[in-house]
Amino acid sequence: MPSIKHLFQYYFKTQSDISRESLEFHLKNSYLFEYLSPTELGRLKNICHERTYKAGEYIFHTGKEADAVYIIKTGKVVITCNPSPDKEEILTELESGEFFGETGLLPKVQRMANATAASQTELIAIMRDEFNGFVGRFPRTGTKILLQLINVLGQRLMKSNQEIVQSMKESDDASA
Amino acid sequence: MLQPNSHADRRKRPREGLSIQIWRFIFLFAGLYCLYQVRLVLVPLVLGVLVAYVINPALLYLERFDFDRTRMLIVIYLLFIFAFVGFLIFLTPNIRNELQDLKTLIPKIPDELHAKSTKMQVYLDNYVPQQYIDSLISVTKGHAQEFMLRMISTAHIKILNAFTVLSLSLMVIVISFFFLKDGNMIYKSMVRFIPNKYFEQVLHVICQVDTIIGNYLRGQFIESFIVGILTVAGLFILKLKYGLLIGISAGILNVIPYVGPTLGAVPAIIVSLVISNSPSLIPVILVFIIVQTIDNIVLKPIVIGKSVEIHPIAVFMALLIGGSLFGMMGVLVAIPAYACIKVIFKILYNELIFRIE
Repeated sequence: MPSIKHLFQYYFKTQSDISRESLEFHLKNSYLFEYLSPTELGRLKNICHERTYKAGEYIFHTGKEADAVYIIKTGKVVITCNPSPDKEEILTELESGEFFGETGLLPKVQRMANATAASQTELIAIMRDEFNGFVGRFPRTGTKILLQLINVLGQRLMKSNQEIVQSMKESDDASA
Repeated sequence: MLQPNSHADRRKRPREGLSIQIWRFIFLFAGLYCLYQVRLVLVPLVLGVLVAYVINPALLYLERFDFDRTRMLIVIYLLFIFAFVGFLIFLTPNIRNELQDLKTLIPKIPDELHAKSTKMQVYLDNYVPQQYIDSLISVTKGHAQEFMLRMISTAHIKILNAFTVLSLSLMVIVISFFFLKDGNMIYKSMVRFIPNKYFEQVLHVICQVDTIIGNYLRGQFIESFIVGILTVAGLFILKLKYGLLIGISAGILNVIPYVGPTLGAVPAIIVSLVISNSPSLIPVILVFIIVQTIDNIVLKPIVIGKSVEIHPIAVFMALLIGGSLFGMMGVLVAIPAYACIKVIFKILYNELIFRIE
């Protein structure tokens, strides 16, 4: 004889499983969401937008207001910067499972680089406004994602600090 | 290896042909014209979306507990239908009786007002000639009687036409149910049509507009509901006749900023002046003043907050423009429409500044 609790769970609780083709599978592959449970990934899926870009198509430009973070489902993305208006330098190349434009989750931030699809690329986009609503509804899941984001931003800050110190040392050596 | 176009090159790209722009405008206007032609069909659709907006936060809250959306939706709708049927069973006879009473009372209103005004004639005679007062009263009497009788009789037919109300309610329930169940899927499939170039900006606009409309509608719904209950309670204490009907109409009219509360008080003032053994005018007006004070000091800051922050002059202008363009419907949607247009312009302005820089 099933108890009322079991009947309640049978009627109301969602069932979630992850197939290799699903959006959850691709989200799980990303560093930002690797600690999320299948149920949490299922919730996150609701605020994800799938986009397809042709080779050479711009995803975003330097100076534009950042409103979204992107996770690469398939394909390749090139991140470039403009040291001068007529010049464009490649900073890095990203592949499936990696993410970029994470500052899009922070309010009122401008893009610091350009992102371009290097080949036919499928991306998962998460908008800041929708992500904020998600964090409000699911604070525990939101905290997990934000902690991973802080980790990434902290590592990048440390790396750029090291580069600044290194370049200062080099300029000191050169002047000496 | 891919060599992306430079930022500067992108700006030098030739603009889209003029003919494409013209065709876009033609399609846009053709679409708007088609919408205008099927505007009557849009009524249940718009109402369905509005109901979905009001119910959605409850579903979003319940999703926290990992509840299945569709099953939760069925439970909420069953509760809602029970509450609605209960409301109809208990309140319809009262409202119907009050409407019937009102229908017989309306022809007497001008005479009663005339009788009351004779007391004032002593004072008026010193300033305004008698013939002007008489002609004014006779003209007003005729017009008011005709207008109010027509209004009440048509409202009576329209409101109590069970088939219309039931069919519209059913359509609204079904449409809102599917909007709530598959809204995310519909939204996502529509987002797919947005070109990659404008994806972030358009989605940002949609999110902002969605927040504004959602907050405004939910705020108005809760505010009107509480104002209605407080007015009914106040008028019930004063034992004013037609208190239920006046309270409900005051709650609904409260949706119109600034003008609505005054309009809501007018029927109560008329009833207190016309009906012989009703409470005097001052306590009735005091009820409306107290309710409005509670609304402005307690309800508005909590319920609506700063979600729709608009200058009072802009509110008046929006109401006037909305009213002159689309009548009563225009007045009701003027504020959220203005707030949405403001957000869209702000984002477009930022985009324009980015392009100029």
